[in-house]
Amino acid sequence: MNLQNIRNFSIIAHIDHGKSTLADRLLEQTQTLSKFQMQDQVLDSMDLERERGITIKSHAIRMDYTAPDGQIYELNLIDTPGHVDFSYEVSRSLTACEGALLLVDAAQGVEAQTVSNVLLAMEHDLFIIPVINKIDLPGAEVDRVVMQLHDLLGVEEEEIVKISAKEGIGIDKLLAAIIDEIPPPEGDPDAPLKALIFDSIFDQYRGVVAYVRVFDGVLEKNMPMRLFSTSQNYDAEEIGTLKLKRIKQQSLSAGEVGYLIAGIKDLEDARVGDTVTGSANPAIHPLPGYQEVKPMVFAGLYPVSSDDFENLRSALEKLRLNDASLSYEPETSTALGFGFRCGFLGLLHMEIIQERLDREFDIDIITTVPNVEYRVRLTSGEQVDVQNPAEMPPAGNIEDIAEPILDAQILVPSEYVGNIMRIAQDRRGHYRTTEYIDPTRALLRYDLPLSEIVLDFYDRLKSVSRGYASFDYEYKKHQAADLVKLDLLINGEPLDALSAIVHRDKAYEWGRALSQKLKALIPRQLFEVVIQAAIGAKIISRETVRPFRKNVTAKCYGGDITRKRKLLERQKEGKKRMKQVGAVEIPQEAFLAVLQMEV
Amino acid sequence: MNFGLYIHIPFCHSRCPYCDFAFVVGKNHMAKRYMDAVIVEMQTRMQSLGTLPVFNTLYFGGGTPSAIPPGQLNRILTNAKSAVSPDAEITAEANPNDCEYFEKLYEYGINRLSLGVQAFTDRALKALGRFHKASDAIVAFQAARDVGFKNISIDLMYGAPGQTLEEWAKSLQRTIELCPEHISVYGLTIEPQTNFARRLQKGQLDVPPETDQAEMYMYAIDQLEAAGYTHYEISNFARSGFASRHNLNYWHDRPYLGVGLSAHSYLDNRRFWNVRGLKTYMQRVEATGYAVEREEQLTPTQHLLERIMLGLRQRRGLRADFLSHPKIHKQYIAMTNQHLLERTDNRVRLTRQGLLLADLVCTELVREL
Repeated sequence: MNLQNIRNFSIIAHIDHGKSTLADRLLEQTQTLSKFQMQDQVLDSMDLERERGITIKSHAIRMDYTAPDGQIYELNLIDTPGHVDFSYEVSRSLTACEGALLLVDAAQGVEAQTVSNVLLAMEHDLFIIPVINKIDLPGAEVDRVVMQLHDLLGVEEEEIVKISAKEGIGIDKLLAAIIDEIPPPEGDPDAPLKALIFDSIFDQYRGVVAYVRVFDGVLEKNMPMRLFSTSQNYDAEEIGTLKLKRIKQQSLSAGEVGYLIAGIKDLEDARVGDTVTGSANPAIHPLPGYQEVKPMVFAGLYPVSSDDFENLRSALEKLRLNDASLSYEPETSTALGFGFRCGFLGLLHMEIIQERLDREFDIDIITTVPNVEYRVRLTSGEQVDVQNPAEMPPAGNIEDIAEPILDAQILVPSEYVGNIMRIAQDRRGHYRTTEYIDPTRALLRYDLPLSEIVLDFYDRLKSVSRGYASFDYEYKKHQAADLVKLDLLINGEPLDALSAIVHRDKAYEWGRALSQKLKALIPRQLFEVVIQAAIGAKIISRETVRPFRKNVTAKCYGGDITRKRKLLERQKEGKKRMKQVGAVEIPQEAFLAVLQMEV
Repeated sequence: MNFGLYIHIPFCHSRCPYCDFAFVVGKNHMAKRYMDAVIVEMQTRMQSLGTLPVFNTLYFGGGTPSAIPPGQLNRILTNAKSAVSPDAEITAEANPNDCEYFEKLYEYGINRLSLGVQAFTDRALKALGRFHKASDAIVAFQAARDVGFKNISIDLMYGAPGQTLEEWAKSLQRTIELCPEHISVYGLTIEPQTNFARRLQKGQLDVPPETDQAEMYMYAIDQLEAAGYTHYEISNFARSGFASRHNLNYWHDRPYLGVGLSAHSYLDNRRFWNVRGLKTYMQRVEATGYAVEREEQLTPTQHLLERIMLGLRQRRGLRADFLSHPKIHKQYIAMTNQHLLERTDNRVRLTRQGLLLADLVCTELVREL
């Protein structure tokens, strides 16, 4: 294919602004799929993606489009994940493109993620086509959104394409804009091969399938090739382009997008962002911008029944085949037994993994309080990274503790600015700037500790802004703070799974709220249960669960022994679902208590 | 040979607000048709047993057996006569207001009367929704003695709404003064779907706190033991030789046949029970001779659970070898160390403290099973 006739682009949008529906419509209009093959949101292949309406994995699809002038164009749509947890993947996908469709909902307008996506697209030097979607909705405020886009991008109204992806309105105009305005790829087919891996998936029959964009040179079938980050050599067993299925090709040359199968066993060896080059005539430098994806949020995952430990291990192994950003290693908890400390890109990523464990593997798990990674400087001068509060070194050995700080952007209608500022303050946010993207909407920037948003920040944000606030962030730095380890003791025994690292100013409130919550959740037992919160040796709160004084069935219902036995069987099964900590029985909900705390 | 026969008489004069047994009110005109059905069911059962059984106990429970004319009970006694051993314990539950029937009941061969007194203070009786007075109960007891009953049991209930320990002590004292052969002491239990349960939920029922209930129970044990009664089961006390043989059958894992609506039977490791509706029961028996709602074959684990559960409720305890089971032993040791269980010779029983927590101890013992 002549480079002049190739367009590589992606769609960037805030969640729910209609990205997947637009993708469907493009596939239909270019006759890549017949109506018969259409299924809503074709590119969201996981059930979970379709249900939650978010794209978790990137996808790529090639459309061969005959333009009204009779010319045939190769349009490569590179779909990007739609959530901040996966922003690195988004960034890599954008690298593979020359242009982007910036999709904005006509009723919702510009949101925080729209802004950060625009910045990201600009960073990658992409040509941006602004698109207003859902213009058919009764609540559509096209003029307002036009103004917002004008302020954001400096574009005039004529440059904005107005569509309804759902109704198929304006799709032809959009295709024309893609062809006319997005620049064709450049690249030197004669230079040494440089191809970017922008995503990879695991196929149980073929191993790793890497999605690549060739920048220079030609990737040919059976050629010996090498990955820059690992210096491993492979043979390009199969290459091709992506339609709904994989279509084998003999080669992919500069400017083209496709897939590569090269006998790579582990997703980790075909990392997103890595560069593929030829073994015989390698490029000297890789494509820029490669970075290892690091988990941001950590939590312990424990099987409810200890018999499920091996099942959990194999389930995590399988999930990781498809998701190299999930990390896990075995750990033990005195309270919960054997489990795994898992690292996630963010909270959504964590939720997705929990849901998949439940749905696809049917394993009951207890998840400990999610936490961030702390960088601890010891008095000895040594530095350790702590991913589990239980492993925090003794206070006496600590010089200081640094926590991850985010660069957070919150976009909110101006009347809620006060509310948002109050929450940000509560969450130890450090205010930086306010910008008005239009007279009614403010973009607030804060430095915000990641640990403060791990629990319910997003929900709070939504509730104080009647759902209008939107939020985006990226990691900025680690910064020292006055943090302490708060332990929870049950009858004097520390319950490691509920230990937390909290700011000293919040420790009392946290300790009291947590002990009260547990008091409500721990059933009465044969003996008194004392719940204490402590910082080091200092007890900061205490609650007790009174023991049973009397628990005896008065009457054995004549000959109805069955009824009493069934009651006993139920109680017995109830006990099996409890975790025994020392002699105390603690229901699973207690371990989730922290997640529902309003502090 | 120990084999019990239970006959359920569902008729009652009125509804007690705490009761969740199978009962009907205002249907006494159906008593004859019902008893016809009971006799049919009993005969069908006995025929299917093969050899004629010999029942060593017969028990009329309810409901209120004394709520229907005694002649109806006599029909059963006459019909079952050949299957009931001559020295059988034959009990009828009776309401203190029905004392005019006592003479007939005794005459027809009933030799044990279980009086549903519940309390000897008018305040508690009213709180429990009972229609008799304390004085009626005393009169009834005397009447039973006068017509010849030498084995009388009194049912008492502690923890009535608004009850104090002092008030409870009064009921106990009156009971002891009457010198019954047997006393059952039940803590008021709020069963779901009863009038009391609804009132409790609305916050309109003033049930004594758990600590008071525990104290009432302990006080009863002390008083009754001091008065010469043997505490032989969690809720039951008797003078020597007067433990309820019929109830011991249930608790000793022995067979019994239950006839009438909602009655439970236990034969050949199989438990089955009848339907609860009066009409359904009669129609099904009239059509087929039976009215079983469900049955279950006990698995070995279930059987073991029952033996432990029933054994622990008895003051003589459980044979220690049950507790050497590998999945029980550890908990047994732990419960012993917590002074909830104690060993006497080759039996294990609840301690005094353990009695109050019998259900928890039992659940804990079998948690690994």
